[in-house]
Order: sequence, then structure tokens, then C-alpha cells
Amino acid sequence: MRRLMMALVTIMVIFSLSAYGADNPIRIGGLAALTGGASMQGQQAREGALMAMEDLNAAGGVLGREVQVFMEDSQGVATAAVNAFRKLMDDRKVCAVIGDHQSTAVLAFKPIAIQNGIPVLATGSAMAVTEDANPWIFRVREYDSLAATALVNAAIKEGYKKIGIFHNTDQFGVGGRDNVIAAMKAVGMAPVATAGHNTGDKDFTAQLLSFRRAGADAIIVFTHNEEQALICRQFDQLLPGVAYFGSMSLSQTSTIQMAQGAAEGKYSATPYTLTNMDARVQEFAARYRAKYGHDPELFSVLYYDAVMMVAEAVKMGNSDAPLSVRDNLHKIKDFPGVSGLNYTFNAIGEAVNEIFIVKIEGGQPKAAFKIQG
Amino acid sequence: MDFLAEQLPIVVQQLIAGLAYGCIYGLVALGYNFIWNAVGIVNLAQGDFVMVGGYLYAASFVPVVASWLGPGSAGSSFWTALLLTAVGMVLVGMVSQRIVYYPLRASHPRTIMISTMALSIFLKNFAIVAWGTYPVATSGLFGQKWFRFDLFGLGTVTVLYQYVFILVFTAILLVVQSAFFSRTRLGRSMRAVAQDQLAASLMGINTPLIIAITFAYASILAGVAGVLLAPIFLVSQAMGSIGLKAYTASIVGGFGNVIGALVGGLLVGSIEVLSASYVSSVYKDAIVFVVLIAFLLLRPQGLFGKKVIGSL
Amino acid sequence: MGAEPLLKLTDVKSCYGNIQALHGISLEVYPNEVVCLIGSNGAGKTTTLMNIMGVVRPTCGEIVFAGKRLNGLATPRIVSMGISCVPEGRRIFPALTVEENLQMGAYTQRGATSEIEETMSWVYELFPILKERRTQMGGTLSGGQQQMLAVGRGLMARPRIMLLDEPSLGLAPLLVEQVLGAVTRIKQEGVTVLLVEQNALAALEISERGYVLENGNVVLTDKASALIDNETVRKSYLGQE
Ligand SMILES: Nc1ncnc2c1ncn2[C@@H]1O[C@H](COP(=O)(O)OP(=O)(O)O)[C@@H](O)[C@H]1O
Ligand SMILES: [Mg+2]
Repeated sequence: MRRLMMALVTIMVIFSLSAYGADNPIRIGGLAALTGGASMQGQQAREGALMAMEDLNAAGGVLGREVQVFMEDSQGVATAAVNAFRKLMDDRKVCAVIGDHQSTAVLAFKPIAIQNGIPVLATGSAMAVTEDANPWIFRVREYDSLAATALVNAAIKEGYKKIGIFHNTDQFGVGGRDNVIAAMKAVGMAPVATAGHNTGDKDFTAQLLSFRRAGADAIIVFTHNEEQALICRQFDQLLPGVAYFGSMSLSQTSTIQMAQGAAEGKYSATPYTLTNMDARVQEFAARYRAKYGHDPELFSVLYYDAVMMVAEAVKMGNSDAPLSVRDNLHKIKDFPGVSGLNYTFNAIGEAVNEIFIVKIEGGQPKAAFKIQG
Repeated sequence: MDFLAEQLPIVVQQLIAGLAYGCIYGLVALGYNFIWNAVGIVNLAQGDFVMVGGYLYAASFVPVVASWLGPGSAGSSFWTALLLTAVGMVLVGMVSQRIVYYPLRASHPRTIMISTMALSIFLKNFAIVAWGTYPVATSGLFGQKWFRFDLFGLGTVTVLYQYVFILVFTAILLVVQSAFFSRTRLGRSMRAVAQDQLAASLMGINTPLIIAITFAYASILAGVAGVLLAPIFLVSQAMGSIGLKAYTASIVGGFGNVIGALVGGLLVGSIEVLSASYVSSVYKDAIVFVVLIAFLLLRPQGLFGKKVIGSL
Repeated sequence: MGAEPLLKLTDVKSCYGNIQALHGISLEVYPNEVVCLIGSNGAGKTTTLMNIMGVVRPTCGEIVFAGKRLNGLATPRIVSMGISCVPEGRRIFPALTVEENLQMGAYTQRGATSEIEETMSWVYELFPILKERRTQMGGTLSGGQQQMLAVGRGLMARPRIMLLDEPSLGLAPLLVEQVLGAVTRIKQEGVTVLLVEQNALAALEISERGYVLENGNVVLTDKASALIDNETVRKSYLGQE
């Protein structure tokens, strides 16, 4: 019995030594919905993060050490995200976690991250992610009110006065609706109608007709890719002559493809567009296409940039201790991302403070103008 | 009165959509019923067969067929791809019953149902591996063309051509099915096996083969539903969730009942669409499931009581 | 009685799981005989028939029909060799019409439509009520009519031997007579019959020979007339008679 214990202890010591040995890698965690309803975005995220890892290692690693990115599946579900986060923290011993791209998941593991001192570079857009200004929590994505304000301003700028709001009934969509209402209130306006739909809905006739009855001349649509594409397809027939401003999902290539031409002439807001002629954007997109056979999307570049920023913070502090990573992330200034953005984390940890209003033309989101937060 | 007149075109428009969805639910529900009648289990992967059918059609066969036939062949590529999808679904149905049902046929139905649940999970994940996570958009025969007509001068009704196509296609399919079941030797033996397996095998019917064919047919029905839906829905893993609506249709109509499946489907589709308009678009699914639970509690035998599979 | 038995079972044993239902049944049926198998409930009569039909597999012993071994053959094969079975409890197809039920009986008669029609008119002749009801669903028939349908369906296969499992079960005396009367007429058409009955007296009266089954064993076999007179049979199976 005692010998067995000794053997076990020896094995454990050997394992822990190998984990912290001379060639011990820099471990970075990533969370995304690799399966389930949001797996499309999750896979983009994964591709971006893994490409960053390969680029770093091809350049000799960080501090002479190999970089390992561990992607775990949050399934887009809060409990699964918490389990996946614990796995990254306890088993993988990562120095930082990137993601999740769904705010519900981020909010679920956020307290554990803060308690255990693991920096999180969230890619969910809900205001609640950063509103308590905790030093462990960063965001590498636009926040919802930025997108909402930008869409409202764009609609006003284009001369629309009777605006309706069509939103998903999940946390993202309801948050979007409230932010749009707030942004409209700030300029003394109110929506002429609001309507909701569920994730997975396919028929939006009833809601679209309610905007017609209310006499809307523009609608702002806060929802995810599939629903956004289907709403576009039904919109033109039921609300001819009405302008359409979709949340970020409408700017994504996959959504535009799914809409099969129905996205034409519609507006969206995104921090990232492939039509941005910035050399960083184009060079990255070309490499990404060569590697994966399709265009990068928002989450591809955000996860790529987030991994790069963690690596940068490790270099700056000459350490991959989570606390050092956290403090050095706060010191990063104007970090050039392949998204075309320059990142500087502000007091509450926001890195993205500007957003493009794009108009879909010829199947491409063409940057119309840029709005600062 | 004015209000009614104003609402009427909208109600008609919604009802056409509702009935089209209802046809789809009905087709999937028929699949539940045939398998239920043949072997006394609920095939929990039936909804996922819809998804597989949609993917086979939209992601596999349509592009291939279109590239064979060259540009400007939308019509013929649709029918060829539909046929290939049906053939693919025969294989899917046969293979899955061989793996999921046949080895367990002597076990408790509950055991077999758990094994169909495993099949459902497998198919969802298989779809990710085989076709990726991007929903696939396809245009079908009519693309996004809308059909407009004037309703007694009260207003214009605007519906997708695809909705009308679904109604017509389903009606024709049911007539063909009815002839198949009453006129052909295979159809009659499928009914016989569903009614009494032992007696059927004493007639010299190869019952395991007929059961496999029944699975294949249920799978074709689901696949056809997937093809019909593909232009309206995007084809994605989420398509499998239609199984629950179709199950509701089965319960409402009376599990195992052929006419019940259709009437149940049409009812569920209409309830869904009309409650989205006039009650709450957010709670329309909840309303459908309240109907399901109400039937389970108050009238578990459904609208059409007993098993009368032979009547179609 | 021909020299070669048409159907011959030798020491057939059979089990349901761990329970042995047949402990070594041997019996013979000669061409154009009516042989009855009597015994109380649970004796193994149905199991014997199911072994012949290949629905239940014998664990040992041999079943030979017209010189061919049946062991291991699938039911459809056995049916097409010329054995048909009218199962216990009739088991007609309730949601097929009378005519469709009869057509199912001819399932193994591939091709020859005219022959099938001929057989069908013979069955209608035998049971005129079926012709009257031919478009009606099987499930709507009365018990006696259902039994006639089951027998008629069995005949549709143009069998060389027909196995009948308790055709009189649950029928009023008048109907019992009608159904068993049909057995005699079937025999006249050259069909050999193996009749299973609990209604022993009625069965023995129309049979040439009989076997008595008890707990999965053949305990007695003799000419039918001798069995009717047999002391034990009288006591055990014929009640007060
Ligand atoms: N499907 C079955 N499973 C298990 N035991 C069975 C089954 N069918 C019959 N038995 C048993 O086998 C024995 C013989 O039954 P059976 O052949 O039906 O008798 P009989 O037809 O003479 O009334 C009985 O003890 C019965 O309980
Ligand atoms: Mg019996």
C-alpha cells in the first residue's frame, strides 16, 4: 500500500515537473461555442486563435517558449462554459482566457475568473461584461451600446424619422433593444414599434407586418446570423421602401451569403470589414483564406488579435504569471490588430471604441462611415 | 367590420404559411407513425432525418447536379437532386435501422428509443463534421419569389411560391402514397406488418425487410420535408428541432393515425403562425407545446382515437 | 395413408429463454390426413406449430417436410414450400379489407393472378359470407367470420398442409361446427391438415389420428376413434362425456 502511494506521488511529481520544466510552454485558453447553435461563430474563433498560435510559434515562440492555445467548447451554454473555464484554469493552467463570444457564458464564469485571478479577454458584447470595471476583465469587441448608438445615428444621418426595433428575445437582443431605445432617447426620439422573435424562428411575417402598420420608415434589427438572414429575405417583400439597419451579424460574409441577395442595400455596424483596405486587414485575410479556404470573420480576427495581445503582455512583463499578464495588458498602447483596429484598453477594459457603418453592396459590406464611441 | 375586412388578407396570408408548415409537420409526423405502427417505438431521430435530407439536397446533391447539368438548369437540377436525396434517405433509413433498431428488436421499447436518441445526437454531430457549422442557403425551384393575389378587393395577399409548392407537392405525395399502400404488394405488406408482425410473417412476408423498408420510407418522408423546407429555412443542425413540432402533430392527431398526422400537422402549423400574429410571436412555440401537454393530459389518444393505419 | 409422411417431427425440443417448452416431440402427418393435436392449455401445442413454421427455432431434433429439412429455414421459405398456418386467435389484419386479407394469404403465390383469383373464388365458395363482406375491414367482422377469414387466408397460399391452431376457440357451438365442417371440405380438396384443438371431442370426430400432448411431451397417440374411447383421454380432455 505504501509502495503504491510512493509510486503515485512519484508519478505526480514527474508530471508537475514536466508541466513547469525548462521547455514549459506559454499556455493560453480560448472559449467558444464549438458545437450547438452558435458553433458557426465558435469555429471562426477557433480558427483565428489557432492561427495566432501557429504564427507566434513560427516566429520562435514567446520568451523563447512555445505557445499553446487550448480551445474549449462552451456550447453556448452557461453551465458548459463554466465547466470549460474550470478545465482551462485547473487542468490546462492557462495564463489568460479569451472568449467567450456569448455574453451569457462570460457572465457565468466571470466571478470564478476574478476570484482565481485569471485575466479574461471577453468577446461577448453585453454591457454587463465590463460595467463593474474589474481589472481582470477585458473586452476585445465592440460593446452593444456602441453598435446601438452607431445604428441609431446612421439612421438619423440617412434621414429616417420613424424607427422600429426588431430584436431577438435573448439577452443579446433585449440588451440591444434597450440600448437602441436609450440612444434614441438621447436625441429625443422613441421607436414607433418594437417586436421580438426567438432564436430558431423562421417566419417573421407577423412582426414585419406590425412595422408596416406602425408606419416605420426604418427598422433596426438586433439578432444573430441565421435569423438576420431570414429576416432580410422576408423583409423586402413585406416592407418595400423601408430602410434596414442590422446588428453586427448582418455584416458577416456568412450572413450575407445566407440572405442570398436579400442583404443588398441594408446597413450594419461592425468593427471589422473585409472592405477596409488597411494593409493589415488585407494581408491577414489573404493568409487566412489560403489556410482555411474561406474568408475570416469578426471572431476570427478578434480571437487572433486577443491571442497576440496576451503574447505581447507576456513579453512586456517577461512572465506568464496571470497577474503580470493582467497588469501588462492594461499597459498596452495602440496595439495594431489584423482587424484594422488599434487596441488600447480603457479604464473599464474596453479595447474597441470605434465602429464602421457598412452598407451591403454587391454582396460585400462596404464601409460607409466610421463612428467613434 | 372594417377591421375584419382589413385583417382578412393578412389572416389568409398567414394561414397559407401555417398550412405549408403544417404539411411539413404532417410529413414528418407520418414517419413517426409508420415506425410506431410497425415496431411500437418513437424514433427520436426522425427530426434529424429532416436535417440530413436538407443537407443532402442543399449541400451535397444540388451543387453536384447543377454542375453536371450546367447553368440554367434550375428546374431539372431540382428534380434530380430531390430524387438523389430520396435515394440517399433510403440508405440513411436502412442503415440506421440496422444499427439502431435491429440488434435491439427483442429489447424493451424504451431501450430502443434511447438508442434512437443516440442516433439523433450522432446525426447532429455528423452534420457538423460532414457539412460544417455554416447554415446552407438554397433557392429551390422558386428562389425567393413571392406570389401575390388580390383577395376580393380587400387587399393583397403575398406568399412565397414555395409555400404554395409545399401544399401542392404534399397533396400529390399523399395521393401517391395512398395508391401505393392500397394498390401495391409492397404497400399492402407494409400495412400488414404494421398491423400484425407474426401474422404477416406467417403469410410468408419477410418482416425484417419490410420493417427496414418502413424505416426507409419514414426517412424519405423526413428527407422530402427537409428538401421542401430548405429554401425557406436555412439548412442547419437546428432543422432537427422540427421533430418536436411534428411529434406534437402526431399526438394531436392521435399517435399511429395516418390522417391524424396530417390533420395534426395542419393544426399545429396554423396555431403556430396565427398565435405568432395574434397572441405573441415570442411565445408561439410555448403555445404549441401547451397544446401538446393539454392533449397528453386530456386526450392522449388524440383527435382520431384508435389506430386505423389501413384507412389510407 | 401413403408410405412416406408429408410432415415428420423427430425428437423436437424447444425453449423460450430458460424455459423448455418442448421436451422431444415426435409426430408424423401423412398426405391427405387430418391429424389432431390435443392437450391442455400450456402443453406446447402452439409451440410445436411455431417450430414447424420457423417462428421459433428447435434447439434439437429434426423437422422434415416432403423430404426436406425445415430446420433453420426462414418462415417465408417454409410458407412457399407449401405449409400454411392459421394462427391461434385468428390474427387477421384488422385494417385490411376482407379481400386484402385474402390477398395477403397469397403473398407467396408470385405472379399467377388468374390462379390467385381462382383460389379466391374457391374460398368464397367455401365461406360465402366472406364474399358478401369482401370490401369490409377485417376488424369489423364477427368472431366467427374472422375465423373463416383466417382459414380462407390460410388456404390462399394453396398449401399442401395446413396447420390450424384452435380454430374453434371462443366460438358459439353452431359456428364451431361450421368451421370444423370446413376442415373436412378442405381435406376433400386434397389439403392435409394438422389441427390443434382444446375442444378435443369435436376435433377427434373429424380426424383420422390424434396426438395427446402434456407438458411438452407426446403422452399418447392413436387412431382418433380409439382416443375417443380411451379412458384417460375421456377423463382429462373430454370432461363428462
Ligand atoms: N412467448 C413465450 N415466452 C415464454 N414462454 C412461452 C411463450 N409462449 C409459450 N410459452 C410457454 O411454453 C409452454 C407451451 O406453451 P404453448 O405452446 O402456447 O401451449 P399451448 O398452445 O398448448 O397452450 C407454456 O408453458 C407457456 O407458458
Ligand atoms: Mg396454444
